[in-house]
Formats: sequence, C-alpha cells, structure tokens
Amino acid sequence: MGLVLVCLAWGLAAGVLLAARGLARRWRQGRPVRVDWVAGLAAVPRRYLVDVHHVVERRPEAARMHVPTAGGLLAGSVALMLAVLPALRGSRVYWAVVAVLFAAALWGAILVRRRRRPVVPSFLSAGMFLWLPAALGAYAGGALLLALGMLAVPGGGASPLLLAPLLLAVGGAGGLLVQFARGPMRHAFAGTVWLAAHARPGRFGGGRDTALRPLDLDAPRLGALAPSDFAWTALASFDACIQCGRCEQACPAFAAGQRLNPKALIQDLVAATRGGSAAEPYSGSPAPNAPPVACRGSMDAPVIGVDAMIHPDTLWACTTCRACVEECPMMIEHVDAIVDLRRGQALMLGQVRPGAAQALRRMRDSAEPGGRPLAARADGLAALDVPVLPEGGETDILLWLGEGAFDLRYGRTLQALVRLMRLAGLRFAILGEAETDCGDLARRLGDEATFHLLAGEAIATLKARTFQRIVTADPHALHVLRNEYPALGGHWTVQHHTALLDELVTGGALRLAPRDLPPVAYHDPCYLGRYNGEIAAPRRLLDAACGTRVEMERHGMRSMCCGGGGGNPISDVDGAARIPDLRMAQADAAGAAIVAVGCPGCTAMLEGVPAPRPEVRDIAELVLDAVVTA
Amino acid sequence: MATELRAVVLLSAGIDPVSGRPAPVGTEIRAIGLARALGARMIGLHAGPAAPVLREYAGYGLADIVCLDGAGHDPVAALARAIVSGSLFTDGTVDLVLAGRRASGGMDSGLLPYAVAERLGWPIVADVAEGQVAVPASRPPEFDVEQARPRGTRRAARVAAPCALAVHDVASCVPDFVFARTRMAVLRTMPSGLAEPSAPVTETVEERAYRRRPRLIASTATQAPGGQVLVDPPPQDAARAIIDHLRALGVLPPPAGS
Ligand code: SF4
Ligand code: SF4
Repeated sequence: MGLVLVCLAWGLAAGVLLAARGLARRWRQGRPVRVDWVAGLAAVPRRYLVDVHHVVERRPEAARMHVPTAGGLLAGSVALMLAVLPALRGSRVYWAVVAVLFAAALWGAILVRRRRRPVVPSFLSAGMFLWLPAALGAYAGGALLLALGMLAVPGGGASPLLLAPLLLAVGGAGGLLVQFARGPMRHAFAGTVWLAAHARPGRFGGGRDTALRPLDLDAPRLGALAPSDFAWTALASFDACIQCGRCEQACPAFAAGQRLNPKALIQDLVAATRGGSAAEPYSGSPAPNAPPVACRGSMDAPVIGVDAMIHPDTLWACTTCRACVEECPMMIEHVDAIVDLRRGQALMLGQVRPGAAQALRRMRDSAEPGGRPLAARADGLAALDVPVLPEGGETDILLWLGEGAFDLRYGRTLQALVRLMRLAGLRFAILGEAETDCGDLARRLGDEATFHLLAGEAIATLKARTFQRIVTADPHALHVLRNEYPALGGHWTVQHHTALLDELVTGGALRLAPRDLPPVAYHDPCYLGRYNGEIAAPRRLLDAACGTRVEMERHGMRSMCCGGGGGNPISDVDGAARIPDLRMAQADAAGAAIVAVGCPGCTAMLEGVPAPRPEVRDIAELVLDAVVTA
Repeated sequence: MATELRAVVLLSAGIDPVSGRPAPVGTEIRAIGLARALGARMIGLHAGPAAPVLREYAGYGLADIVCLDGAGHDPVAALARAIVSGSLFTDGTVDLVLAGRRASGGMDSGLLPYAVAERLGWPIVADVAEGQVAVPASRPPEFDVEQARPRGTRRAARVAAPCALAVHDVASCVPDFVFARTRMAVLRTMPSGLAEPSAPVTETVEERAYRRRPRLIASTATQAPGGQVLVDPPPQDAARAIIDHLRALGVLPPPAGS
C-alpha cells in the first residue's frame, strides 16, 4: 500500500510537470526577454515568504487559508514522494508526519470551501473554483486516511479497507491535475516562475520600481496588439492571477462603473492566449457597463476591439493609479500591461479617444496638451516677479511649474509656494517660456513617440542650465523627471514641494503655529504616494499647520485615486459615477471639513465635485496660512 | 473601385500658430482626411525642399510625398506643372487637388490653391467642410461638397473632376495619427523643371498701414436672400456691383461727397 501511495505522489508530480510544460510552451510564444534565472530562482523563497505574504497578510483570513492549503499540500506530496526510500516506508514517525501534513491540507480545503459559502462574494470567481475544495479535500483526505492506515497497520498490508481512501486520493489528484492544467491551480507554477522572472525585481525587499520602461521606437511592432506581443514573463504573470479580486476592490474606475475591472482584464488576456471563448469561461464580475464583445482571440489575434476580447473603453478608463498593483498578492503589473496595450493602440493604430487625440496633437505641435502659449504658464505668478532662468544661467532651485500652472486655481497654490520659498530665503527661478510639457500625459496614453519628443526637449532645456535641484508641486512631473528621465539621460535631484516645505519646517527656516481649523484629511496623490513612497512629509506638515487631522479609510500607500491620472479625464470614458465624487464622499465619511491636496490633478478633480463638500486646499496654502513671521 | 480617384494634396511646411514650431497644418490634415473619405489614392505635393515636418503628414495617412526641388521662385507654376505632367501617378492623370483654405503662417501662401487652380484652369471650391463622390457615378466623376458658411450654416455645391477643393478648418474628417506610419513615409524629391530665373525675382510688394476692418452686422452675414446674380459681367460692372453691395451693408463708407 505504501508503494501505491508513492506511485500516486510521483504520478501527480509527473502530471504537474507535464501541465507545466504546456504552460511554458504557451508563454514561449511571447516576446523573448532575458531573465537572470540564477538570481531570480534564488530569490523566490524570500520574495514569496516576505513580499507576497506582506500583501496576503492584509487579509488575515486569506493567509490562514493559504498557509495550510499550500503548505500541507506541497509538503505532504513531497513527503509522500520520499517514501520511495524503504526505510521511511517502515517508519511510523514518518507516516505520522505525513498524516499531520495532509490533515493541515484538509483543513485548508475546508477553509477554501468556506470562502464561497453560502454565496460567492462578488469579487471572487465561481467556475472551476466551485469544485476546487472537493478536489483538494479528496486528495488530502484520502492521503490522510491512507497515512493513518499505514500508522495503524505497520508494514502496510493491502487491506481492502484502504481501497476507498485510495480511490478518493486518486480521484482528488486527478481533479487537481485538471485544476492545474486548465484551472486556477496553475497559479502555483505560473506564480513561481513570475516571482523568479519578475519584470520589476526592484519592487522586492521593500523597494520600489514604478517607472515605465522606454520603448524602442524602431522596433517593427510597438506595444501589444496581440498576446504574443507581450513579454513572455508578462504572459506567465497573467496565468499567475488567482482571481482573488483584490485589484477589483481597489480599482477606482471599477468603483465608478467605468467599464474597467483589472481582474477581468487579466482574465480576458489569459482567455485570449487560450482561444477566446474556447477557454474556460470567466465567472467573476465583468468590467462594469462594458458593451459586449465577441470574445474571439488567439495568441496572434488582436486583443482589443468589439470583435476581439476586450472593449476599447476598458483600456482608456485606467487612471494608472497602481492601486491594483499595490493590492495584488501575485505581484502582477496591471499598469504595465495596460500601457503596453495602449502603446499598441496609439502607436500602431492611432486608436485613442478623440479628446486624447487632440491633446496628443497639441503636445506634438505646441509642446503643451492644452495648446496654450508656453509663455502663459507663468501668468499666475506674474505679480510675484519670479526670476526666469535663462540658458546658461545658474540658481539653487529650479521650480518646475507643470501643466497645472495654466489653471488659475492652481496658480494660487503656486503663489503660496513661491511666498513660502521667499520667506525661507531660498534662491530659485522658473524656466518661463522655456518650460515645455514633461510628457507624462503622452506616456500614460501610450504615445511613447510623443513622450520621447517632449522628454528630449525638456532634458535639453534642463541640461542647458545649472541648478542644485528641481522642485515641483506636480507629482506627475515629479515622477517623470525623477524616475523616467534617467533612462533617457536626464539625472537630477527632484523634490516635491511638500518635501521641500517639510525640510524647511524641520530645519527651522519656516516656523508654523497650528491653526484652529476644522478636521483636515490628506488625500495622497497616487504619483507621490504609491509611485514615490512619499506619505510622511505631507502629514508632518499638516500636523504642524492644522489643529486636527483625520485619515480617510483609504490613505497612504493604499489611498484611492482622484480620477485625474492616466489621461482618464480627457478620454471621455462613460461611467455610472465620477471617481472624485466617490473620493469626496470618503472624505465626508471621515469627518473632514477640509481635504488637503498636493497635486494639480487632485485639486482640479476634487474641486470639480459639486457642493456641499469639504473645502479643497493645497498643503502649501495651509502652510502659508500657519506660518509665523518673526 | 473601377474608377479610382487620384488626388494630390498640397502640403506646406507649416508652423504651429501658437508655439511657432514646425507643425503640420490643420486644414491640410483635413484635406488628407477628405481625400480618404472620397476613397482617393493620394500623393502629397510640396513646393520646396524636403522638411522633417512633412513626415508628420504620413502619420495622418499620406505616405507618399513628393517635394519639388527648385520651385522656390514660382511655386504656382511648379505645382501646376507637376500636376499636369502625368508623372505623379503611373496609371493616369490627377482628378483632384486638395489644399488647406488659407496660410498657416509658415512659408506658405493662402492664395496658392486658388492660383494653382487658376493656372490649371480647374474650378476650385473653397471652404469645403464635407464631400462625397456624387451618385450615380459618372465619368468624369462629380463631387457633392458642402461649404462651411459663417455661423455654422452650410452650402451645397456640385463640382466635376478635375477640380480643386480648399478645405475649411471645421471639416470633421481629421484622420487618426499613427506614429508607425511616419516611419514608413517616403519623401521623394523631383526636379521642378522650372528654368532658373535669369534675373533675380524682384517682386514689388506694397506694404499698407493697418486699417481697422469694419464689422459686418451679424444678421447680414448669413446667406441672406436677395442680391444679384451677374453672369459673365464685364469686370467694371462686377466691381461696381460689389462696391454697391458693400456700401449697402455699411462696410464701405458712402462715396465721398455724398
Ligand atoms: S490580478 Fe492579482 S489582485 Fe487581481 S484578481 Fe488576479 S491575483 Fe488577485
Ligand atoms: S491602475 Fe488604478 S485605475 Fe488602472 S486598473 Fe489599476 S486600480 Fe484600476
């Protein structure tokens, strides 16, 4: 009987290997990328135990389910395979260990079942998941009974009593193989490969890597039109999705009913690699309000389109906020996938939304998405007489104004910032008419060609001047200048205005007296928080400038987007609600009377919410109000 | 299509009116869109040396661009010559010339499309906002076009090939810009075939002081009924009629001494 169990375990392993080979074959049809396998595989245990579990632990019940299921199943099966050694087969201690491991796996199977009982929560999928606990339970339960039998009858007589558990275990193993080859259990293998070959290894070990990768504009195919245009590692990452729905719950576009569900998007990409409607049907929540599509796809067929897998609106609803990425336990890079698809649509087909097409054309022609004269950017600062840094000039701080400066409301923020910098005695200047668009919007929209055009010009402008650092009140510009220009040869120290002000307050150059204000809540801009990890300085400033500070439920690295990023506002995406309305309701719920912001996009989006609503103030304005002039 | 149209789109090395940077001209982009809407095969024609900005037109769908070398001193003659030469399309003559309706501020001239049409002896329809091939199909083909008029009104017109169309800014036929196509642009240079001017061209340019243009009263700016139709009038009579009309509108001051 012991030998039969050994055969079962080895048979299961062989089946898994075979199925894994099938998966690998499919991935190989993707774009080749070089992978450092030695370092990658060596890092897998750490990445899994530390980084993945850091995400999983945010849902303790999921962690409690996953540890016994995965641990018990894997350790139990490996232990069974070791029973090829006759010495082990005769040992009662050994069988006791096997029994404990499978008991854990059985407990895990029960917990897996409970997740979808009595009803499947909206963020989870049904389909093959519905009989996954049965397969897990049958295999673990059967193996457990057999191990107990071996304990009871040392030497392993072929008792007919053990036939039933044996059949149970064999049936369960068969079910697991199907789950592995065609169903969600493939996440175990795909996830491991993806962890080893992850496109952004810098994310592990508490690091951050959020810059989009430059695109070779001379390549014959730009971006992704079909699944085979993705890097093969990305294809593996799609297969790693376990359909836990955390991305869906975090996605602002989904919450607003804007035709995008990151989970459904990833699953649609998987289905596309498997022949569209021929694949295992997706059974989770769809992209809300998205018109139906034909569900046709293959490795080399277009993915986007009503006659393909994904409706085009889905693509343009994304604000590139990275909330999904932050929540994904499989460390999937949704934004990279979406930008790859957008690049394909924009660069190869010219298929962007009309509003975006107009903005892109203005960026190409006038170096400014609104088509406004570049000299008008500093109009809001006219009364303050900020010096303009000429070519060849030198200063300490270069103040990058950004696109928001054209807006009069945001001009008030910049005025406050300039006043504070003056009070602190800083030497600074602006670029004036020489400041062109940094290219953020073009890049998020997938128009890498226009991004390169604009970035090249901005880098040349900056290189022709001397300064210690760049300060900007626009987190989008901050991200591009700090994180994305280095790949194009532009290296500068770039600081957000809240970091500068925090430095000045901490260093004593500015003294603040907290004012007696109604509760203030800070809304983290995605591009400052999730993209750059800066969540502490703005809060320190607010604590020093305002009386009471409250937190919205979603804040810091898990904050919710205002809806302004990724070209969403100019892409005219239909939805059931507006993202900023949802966000303002959250601020209301937190009891905030003032929402403090640090981004021109957030300012415009949140101020666009109809009254009654909390007041919107930039941190610079609040700090200026609280400053004590000696 | 049995009778595929052959169109020439006149391209200028444009200037963006806001930033003053080299940029394709909006009306010429729309001219490309109109040619596509008419189902025409097209060649871009530029009087002057190949400029990088011309590649951008390829992004809007005009991949084959011919630059006329040595056309600088008489672009009208060079363009007209190239259009009738028969060397642009290998399989036939040009049916249609499309252009923007006015200059964009670069080295281009707003008069050019009209001067080229005059030189060719072809009819020209100005301010075209929309167009389609007239049905039933005829040979030579005819086009049903709509001219944009002030305050959003439109006027229908029918014109037979060969003809020229000057496209208005309100035309909605802006083609998608596809970066990948700009990489495939072919910029050919052809000799203009013009003799070098024996003496340097001395153009007599008259500069006039700025004069405020009187505002037309809005209600009269539309297609008001009435007016006169003069068929083949002597130039003097035509001028007289126009002046009388403008005086009636109050645009021109009454005659001195009245
Ligand atoms: S993409 Fe990630 S977060 Fe979203 S369902 Fe899949 S595994 Fe979960
Ligand atoms: S980046 Fe933000 S908007 Fe885009 S899919 Fe992820 S959560 Fe949704």
